[in-house]
Amino acid sequence: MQQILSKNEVQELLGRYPNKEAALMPVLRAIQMKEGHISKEAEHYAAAILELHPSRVREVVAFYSMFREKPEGKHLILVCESISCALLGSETILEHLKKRLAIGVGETTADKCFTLETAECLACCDQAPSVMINDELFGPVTPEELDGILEEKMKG
Amino acid sequence: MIVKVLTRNFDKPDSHTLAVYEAGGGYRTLRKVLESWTPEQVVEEVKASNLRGRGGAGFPTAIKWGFVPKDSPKPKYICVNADEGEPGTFKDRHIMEQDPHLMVEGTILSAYAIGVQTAYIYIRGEFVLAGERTEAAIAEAYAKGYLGENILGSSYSLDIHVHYGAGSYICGEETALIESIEGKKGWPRVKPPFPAVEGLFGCPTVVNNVETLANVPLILDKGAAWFAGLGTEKSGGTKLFTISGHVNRPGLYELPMGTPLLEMIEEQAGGVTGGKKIKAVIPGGASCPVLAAHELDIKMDFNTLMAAGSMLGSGGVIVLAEGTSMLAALLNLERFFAHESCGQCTPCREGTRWIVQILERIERGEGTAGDPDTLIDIAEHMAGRTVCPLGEAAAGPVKSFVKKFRDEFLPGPGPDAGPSGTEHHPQVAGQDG
Repeated sequence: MQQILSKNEVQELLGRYPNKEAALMPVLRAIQMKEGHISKEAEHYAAAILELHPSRVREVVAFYSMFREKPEGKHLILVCESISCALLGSETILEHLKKRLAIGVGETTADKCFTLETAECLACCDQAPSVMINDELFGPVTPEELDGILEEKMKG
Repeated sequence: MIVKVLTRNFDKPDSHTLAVYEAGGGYRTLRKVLESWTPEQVVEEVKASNLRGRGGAGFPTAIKWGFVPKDSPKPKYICVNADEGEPGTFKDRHIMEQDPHLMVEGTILSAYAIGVQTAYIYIRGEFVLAGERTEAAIAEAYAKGYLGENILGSSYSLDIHVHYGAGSYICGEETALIESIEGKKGWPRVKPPFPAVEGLFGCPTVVNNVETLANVPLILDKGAAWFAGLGTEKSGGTKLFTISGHVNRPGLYELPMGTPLLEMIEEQAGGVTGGKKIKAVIPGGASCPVLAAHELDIKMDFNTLMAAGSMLGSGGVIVLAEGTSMLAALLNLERFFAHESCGQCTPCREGTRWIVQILERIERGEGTAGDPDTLIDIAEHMAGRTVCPLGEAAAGPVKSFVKKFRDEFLPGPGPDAGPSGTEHHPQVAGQDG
């Protein structure tokens, strides 16, 4: 089995908890940071190092929306759809992105550059409507500003 | 009237660093307490301050701490609930981004009071900057001897670890949060046993919100009487309110408990955008029952809002201007709850889904005259019939929206359905939003 995390990385995560099981979420997070998503093989790897049945890992990966089960585009776009962003036009933002990228929610562009997702409240209601691209937050954004941001991302 | 107590460091350059926090008197209280206070004295002072939990329920903090058995041979834990995700609420993110040491010092002092040696800060997975700054603050605190073995030369030791969530609103519920730290899916537990007796890893555990703990250094620095005097009779301190929606200056405002709602909207948030009238306000985050325009002359504190049939919740004030479709707004809220229902309890899992289906049907122009009553009926069968409060949280908006804006849930176009009433897919933003 391929070792995704180093021994030291695993030891550091295990050291935070009184049992191995509790390190499951940080182990999955670390795997996703390295590989971009959590493959079936990675689930088995996590199960093996934490001495868990693979079904326990499956359950956790499936439950939490941020654990991603398939590879996605280079840039992950999250459009906040919750009430404060919706009041200020998140639907217009989302429709614009769908047209601009010619993909639906949950899909990735053919060039693997962008994946489009919606998100529940990102706790940035003071910057509504807000959009998160990878680790970066943009808000309040207009469709025109987003076009500029996407251009930059495509160059980079 | 803005008061800068919790937020006193927010405007300083590099407010998130240890140097700035110490220059403002930071960790002075920790030193004082470890040198000359017993844990019991800390609990008594917090009790006398009337501090109530800022996560939504408003439970007296020191009483929650008091449920932890003193003679338990097991280790005890404190979990900091930084899983802020209630739509309309963004106060804890600001604390972590702008003054993470305040939360860290509050955690250490509270852990000392309860006799805890290990604390976990449960941070939302989406909080990138807040997470980075919290981790950096913890590292700085270790380096300076504020954390770790024998803190500041005392006999007290504490470790703090960060545990990231992964996109699940329900993990803000305290027993789901505990399950999540244990490496499980976030299914809330049946209570009792309460976490204070049997919580994380089966041990006595206290779960406190970020803002709650951030108040503790202030209470122990300036005294319980001072803190109690900032608030109302039953609830001490200031409150962080987050105002969003149709206002000119959405943002975080620190105000005394009991500040009138209209004053907040008009004076702090700069009034409604476009000079419009207010149609409704959700006073404390998405799960709090909505207030109609005639109910807005109200003081914002736990007891007053409860008496008015709503809640202060997490202090997330969401303003809806005239022109907003209440049908679209409720559908937005209920889609959120349906998505975030963990699926454990039938009334919540099925009820939220049915509510969304009925609202979508009304939106398509296929509603029936019985729909408003059916919606209320479903909501009443959810509230109080689930393991955790999410069922109740989803039911409250349904009952209040439908009862107060019944016309908009009846067949035919509602008053704000769109230009000339032909639009069957009103956006929440309204016809000109």
